[in-house]
Amino acid sequence: MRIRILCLSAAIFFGISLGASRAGSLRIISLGPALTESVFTLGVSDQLVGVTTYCTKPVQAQEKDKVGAAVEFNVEKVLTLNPTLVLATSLSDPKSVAKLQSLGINVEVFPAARSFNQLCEEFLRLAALIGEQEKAETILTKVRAEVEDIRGKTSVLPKPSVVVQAGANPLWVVPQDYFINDFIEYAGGENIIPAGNGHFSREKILGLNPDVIIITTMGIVGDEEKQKWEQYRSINAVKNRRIYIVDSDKFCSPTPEGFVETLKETVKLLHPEYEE
Amino acid sequence: MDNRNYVLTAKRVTGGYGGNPVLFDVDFGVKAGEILGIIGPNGSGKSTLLRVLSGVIVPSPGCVELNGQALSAIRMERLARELAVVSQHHPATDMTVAEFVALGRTPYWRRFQFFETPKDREAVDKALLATGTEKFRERLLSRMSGGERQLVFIARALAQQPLILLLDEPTTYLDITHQAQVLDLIRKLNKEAGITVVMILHDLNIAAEYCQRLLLLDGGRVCQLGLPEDVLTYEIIERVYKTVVLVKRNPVSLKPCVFLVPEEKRGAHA
Amino acid sequence: MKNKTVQWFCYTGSFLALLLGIGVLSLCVGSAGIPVKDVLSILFDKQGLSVQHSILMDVRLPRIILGIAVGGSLSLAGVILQGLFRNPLVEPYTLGVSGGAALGVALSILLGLHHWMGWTLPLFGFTGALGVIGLLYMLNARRGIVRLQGLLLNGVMLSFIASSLVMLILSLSRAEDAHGIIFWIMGGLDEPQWSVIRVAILGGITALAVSFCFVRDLNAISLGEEEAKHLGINVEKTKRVLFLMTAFLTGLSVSVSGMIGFVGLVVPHAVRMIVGSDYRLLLPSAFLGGGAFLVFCDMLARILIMPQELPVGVMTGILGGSFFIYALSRLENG
Repeated sequence: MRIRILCLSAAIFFGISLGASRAGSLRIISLGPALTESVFTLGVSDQLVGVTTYCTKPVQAQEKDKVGAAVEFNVEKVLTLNPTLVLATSLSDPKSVAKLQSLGINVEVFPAARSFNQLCEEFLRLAALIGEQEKAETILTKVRAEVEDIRGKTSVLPKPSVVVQAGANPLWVVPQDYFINDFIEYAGGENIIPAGNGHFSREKILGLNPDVIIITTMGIVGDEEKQKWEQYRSINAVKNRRIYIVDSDKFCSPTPEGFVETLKETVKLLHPEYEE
Repeated sequence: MDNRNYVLTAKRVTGGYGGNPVLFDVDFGVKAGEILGIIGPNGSGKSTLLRVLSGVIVPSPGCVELNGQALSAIRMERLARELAVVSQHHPATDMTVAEFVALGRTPYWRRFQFFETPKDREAVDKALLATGTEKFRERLLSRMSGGERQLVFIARALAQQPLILLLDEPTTYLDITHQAQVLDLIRKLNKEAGITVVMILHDLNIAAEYCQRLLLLDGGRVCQLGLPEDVLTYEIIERVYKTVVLVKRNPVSLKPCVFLVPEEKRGAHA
Repeated sequence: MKNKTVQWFCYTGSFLALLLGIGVLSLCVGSAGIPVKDVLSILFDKQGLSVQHSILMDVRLPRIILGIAVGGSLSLAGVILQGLFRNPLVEPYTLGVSGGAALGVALSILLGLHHWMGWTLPLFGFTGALGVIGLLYMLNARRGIVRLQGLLLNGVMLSFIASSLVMLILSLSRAEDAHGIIFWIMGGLDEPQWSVIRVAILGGITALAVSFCFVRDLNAISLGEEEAKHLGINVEKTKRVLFLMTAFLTGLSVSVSGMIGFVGLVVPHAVRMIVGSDYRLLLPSAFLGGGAFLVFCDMLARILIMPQELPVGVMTGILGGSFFIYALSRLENG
């Protein structure tokens, strides 16, 4: 009889402490769409108490409380939600970040990743903060394996020369030391813009005669830019009708899993004639 | 030159604006308690001379002395307590008459004084009374006629409690009534309060009537200085103003009177 | 003449009351949704540990105080400059000092010399402002005579040059840096450091005190420089001191809170319409009125599209500009 009571109380105690450790553990506010997505992927979305108006993926994220937009967020709202961890991006208003930190709130800034590897590292860092390293490593192992697989398959294919335009007025293309370059490289293309400055004149790019031009959407500007390129009928990309407009969100700030999806799309663009 | 009784002396004054002198070797003295009129054709340097006398323009070479002391050696505040200027320019302002006249007390304000003292208020009251503008105290300056405004400007100068009053064409834009008012006021101030007056006048007859001495400028130089009947002869006037005139004597005041002779009548004049 | 001292107390007292009223109102409203009746009890909560206390004291109060400092400083500078130059369109930014500050900040961000926290950004901004002030002074205030027209024209030109250079820097910068520069220029009252806010409010109040010592000079100069000289004012010294003081004040305000426009242009005119043109009344009223206006605009900016915030410069521009047009039409008709 006594043993049963002991076991029962132990079980209850264990259950309560387990629940307490889960319920009282984290209150997360995410200030970036990719960070929000990652939080959902890592399975701790119930501890997510605030997001931005741009956090639209997954759909459930839209039901969370909004604390602001991409760059600026409302400090008062954040304080009211009583967070234990705030995930900020390099775009978040530094003054407001400093304000939160001065009030003793734990803010972790996640800078924009410069390469696929850095993307994975940041993902792991996020997972460590919320105590889900194991889950993150599982995901990453799978993702890395897929990426290696794709790389292996595309390495034997002929490499088209590629230019990715991510800015207009002034014209800005992705150089080799930038994040988006990894999509091109892994998908079996050659980014002909060398590392360094991305400001190029259209003439110079024309001189390099790219096989493929990829334009990340910037609203209607993307279409305008495509039309401008199509005037230069001598270059390969125009001759073979290989100017593509892609969704900038997918390209610019993905999660590791999103990276793989976008990579597969890029492969389709660069090597349309090959089946995956 | 005899320095006794000269309150204001111009010593060999050459000067003007920037590098271009307008006055050349002007040398004269203003006697204490007199009314001196400065006359001359347009562009002869009358306003410039007034500016030199008030210290705004520094002559080079030459200097101006106030009671024997060089103007450049006197602090502007102290100068403003002895010498007041009524200029031709009418500033645009939305002050009331009382506020405007009170500005005349500026030279008397001490370092950290921000409001008028009873002494200031008294001086303002006296100035308004003397000029007959007491009833306009709360009127906006911009809503007054030219003649009334001129009286207010004189009141502001009086609030400075000066010994010398410099006026630049005080009657030029006024009708006869107000001309008489202003000039009689000036004469009264000179007689009763002993204020020395130097005024630029365009109208030669007014100058002859109200000034004890006249200074005639021509091309920036002193042409003539003396009693009206000595300065306003038709030879001098014709030479300086280059126009035909007739000079007669005013039967009432016995001062010289200058009449214009229109072109068609010039043959008749001897 | 109505007793000036009585007038002074009346106007200054009214504007002070207005400022306090708007300050309290601003403290009570915000996106945290703290009910008004609880505000008092939260403020005097001895322990001060609650989130709401933190929101009131650490988030809203600093903004209000900075708003008073910057709004007051810019309006004070504006009313003095309008009196010195005798030009109704002159305002603190016309001098080009703000352009210099923006250039200083942009350069520091471009060269990676900045830290997001700390004094670095305001310091670079102030250095840029000082550069412009020095240049203007050298060009127009040597040899004893201060040429106001020269100051104005050179100031406008320097302003254009500075903004062109800033645009150049923007086009050369990486995305995050360009973002940072634009953000800084847009201006805002959300400064995290109390020390900076203290400097701003001290600067403003000091400037108010110093300029009050020149009230008789300002009143005399409003009649014209020559008239002022006749009244015994040392006009050149006054111009020099006041120009330098307003330039420093503008540089300080812009370094701390970016470019918040219209305050220095509109508030002086509004205050002039109420109190007249006597600088003894104008100076304190402009300072207090400017502070009230900016705090009010900041409050609106915080609550109109909750939880997002409008840049405060948008509110000052819209409110200020609209009021200006309305008041002008009233003047012309009435």
